[in-house]
Amino acid sequence: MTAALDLHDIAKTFGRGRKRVDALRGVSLAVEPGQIFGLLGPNGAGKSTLVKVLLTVIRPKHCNGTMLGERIGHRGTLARVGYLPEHHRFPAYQTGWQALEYAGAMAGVPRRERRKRAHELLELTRMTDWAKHRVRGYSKGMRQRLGLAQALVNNPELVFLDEPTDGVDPVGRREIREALLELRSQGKTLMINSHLLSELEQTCDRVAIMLKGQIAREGTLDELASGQTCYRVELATPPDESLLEIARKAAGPSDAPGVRIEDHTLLLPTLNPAPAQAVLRSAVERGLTVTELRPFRPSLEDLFIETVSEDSGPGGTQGKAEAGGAR
Amino acid sequence: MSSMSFRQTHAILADAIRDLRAGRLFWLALIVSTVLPLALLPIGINENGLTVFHWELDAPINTGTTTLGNLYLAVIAIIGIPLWLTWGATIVALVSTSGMIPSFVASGSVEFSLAKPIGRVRLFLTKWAGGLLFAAAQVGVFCLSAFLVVWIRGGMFAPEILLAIPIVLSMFAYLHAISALFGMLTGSGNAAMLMTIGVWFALFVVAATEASFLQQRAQREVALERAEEKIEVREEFARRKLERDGVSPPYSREQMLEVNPTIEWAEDEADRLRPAVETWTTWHERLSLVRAPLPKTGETTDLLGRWIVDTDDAQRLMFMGAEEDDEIDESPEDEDETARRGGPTRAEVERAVELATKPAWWILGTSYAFTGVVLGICCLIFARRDF
Repeated sequence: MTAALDLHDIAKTFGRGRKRVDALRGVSLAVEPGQIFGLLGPNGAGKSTLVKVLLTVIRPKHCNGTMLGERIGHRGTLARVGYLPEHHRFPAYQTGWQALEYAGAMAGVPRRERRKRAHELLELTRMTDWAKHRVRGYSKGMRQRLGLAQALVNNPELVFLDEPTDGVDPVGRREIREALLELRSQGKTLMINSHLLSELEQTCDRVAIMLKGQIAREGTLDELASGQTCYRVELATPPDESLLEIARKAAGPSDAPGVRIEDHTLLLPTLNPAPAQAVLRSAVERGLTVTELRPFRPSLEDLFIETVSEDSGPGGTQGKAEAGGAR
Repeated sequence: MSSMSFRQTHAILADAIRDLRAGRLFWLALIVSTVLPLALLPIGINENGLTVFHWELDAPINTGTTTLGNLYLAVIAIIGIPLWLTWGATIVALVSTSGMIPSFVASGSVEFSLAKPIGRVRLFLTKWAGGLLFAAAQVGVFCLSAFLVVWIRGGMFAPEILLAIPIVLSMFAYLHAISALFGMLTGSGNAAMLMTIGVWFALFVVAATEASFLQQRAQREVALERAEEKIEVREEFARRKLERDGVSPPYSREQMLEVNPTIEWAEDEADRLRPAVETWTTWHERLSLVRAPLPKTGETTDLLGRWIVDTDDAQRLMFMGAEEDDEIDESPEDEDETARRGGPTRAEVERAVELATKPAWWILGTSYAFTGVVLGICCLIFARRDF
């Protein structure tokens, strides 16, 4: 099956001389059809720049690869793509309905079809009652919902959403999340840039973490968390060496080296509950008080913070400059 | 045009109309454009002169030669088109449209259009053309209203009034292109508007300076011509006097100067004027060369005078024919006397003739070429910019 996105060595530089900023430094990435792909990174890591390059809003320095089977920059392919830009601004004189009409017509959707789609999408984003009102009277959340609707008006195969839940209240976020999952079930591919890691965690099949214009880590959540999942056995007093030995034996030869003590907690590097049960039994027999026993899987936020921390360079500040350079 | 291109073009133009309709200035200007020609309806003429409703006015109008249609056409050509369409409505149009390009290319807004299957050059040019719709609506409504008033009330079928639509639209297109360029460069509608009005004023100053240089040249040429005529007359006088005195030709210069020393005065005057003619001719040619590639806003709208009604003729037709004494002498013998009577001097006539005889293709062609170059620069910037 052809990848929805197959990118190789995408590079973009803003400015020249001393003002030169390498916003993208050879990004390579593959996104399979029907996936929700999360792109995260600190401010200015190059996430929005990457999406803008793919949508011809920004001209790359180097760009190899395909989008929906066509080379990047192929204009006709854009008719099959939807896009919700970050910090988007609809013209204040448009109504919600007119904004959808405009987006649909620009994507080449026939009149009858785009009207039908507009009705459906206004319903989906709960904006039907506001369709005839001018955008200037909309709240930020309403504009975001309208933005999502316009990104879908051409029934795209591939959708880029840059901060889709920005400014949306918790109920709206949940609705958007459900809408994204519904789109995935329809076979659409979604690429989402977001700072709301908990949102991405609940929806994404794969994620990539960008730092300083490069992909620092990429994979499914399980792949990214591998080596960090464990069972935590927390005791009222610090565990002694004998309990550590019992835990190592219970964990087996492959996981034994990873068993360790952190303060009052014994960590078993596996999500298999059997070794933890053995440790629990032994602790009870010895009269130790077990305060907590639970499996641990690092959250996306943990992985993100860890990745950013590993890179001690000032990536964030560079990114801000890059964002400004995209003018 | 493919169906997708048609849909996109239609969407951009329809959006431009929405943008214009959202502003109060658009409706205000549209009402003025409609009402102005209608204001002529109460005006009429009878054997005693001008009438407004049932009142008779003591106006010096030649009711013998002027028809109501001619009168309306003249008022439209002298007041309506030059004052409202080429100044008032154009300024209102610039104010209303100067923000279109800056708000279109603003970050967060332009992505909606750029991420669509449309080329950047076509996208920009269609958006720019959308701005022309403002001027098109104003001038279209005005001309249609004027045409109907002249036809139905004035009894004169004058479809040439509709020629004002492409002419005024052309002039606005030059300014709108300049406004688009400044809008692209500054990202500010207000800055684009002020800078465009500044350029418009500069074009007006350059055109006025060229006309002034032309008049200076024409004045010196007329004076030189007169000095040379004086030399001839005085030499002829000297020849006749020498002939009467029985001196046989050929006559030497000394003999002629002895008989009529004023020949030398005239020669001195001609010698003094020749370099002045050369100087003004050189400066006029240089300024003409500078002006050649610039848009000719004034000359473009002056085409209305050529094609619709000659404004001088209109003035004469309306107000100068009532009394014989007020008639303008077309070929005045005495410049001072003509000037004293308020008529044009010969130099002014020559200047007017030279300006009025510039071919329309040259006026429009060079202006369109300028507009094309400015739009080309805009397209280049738009196509290469990262948003």
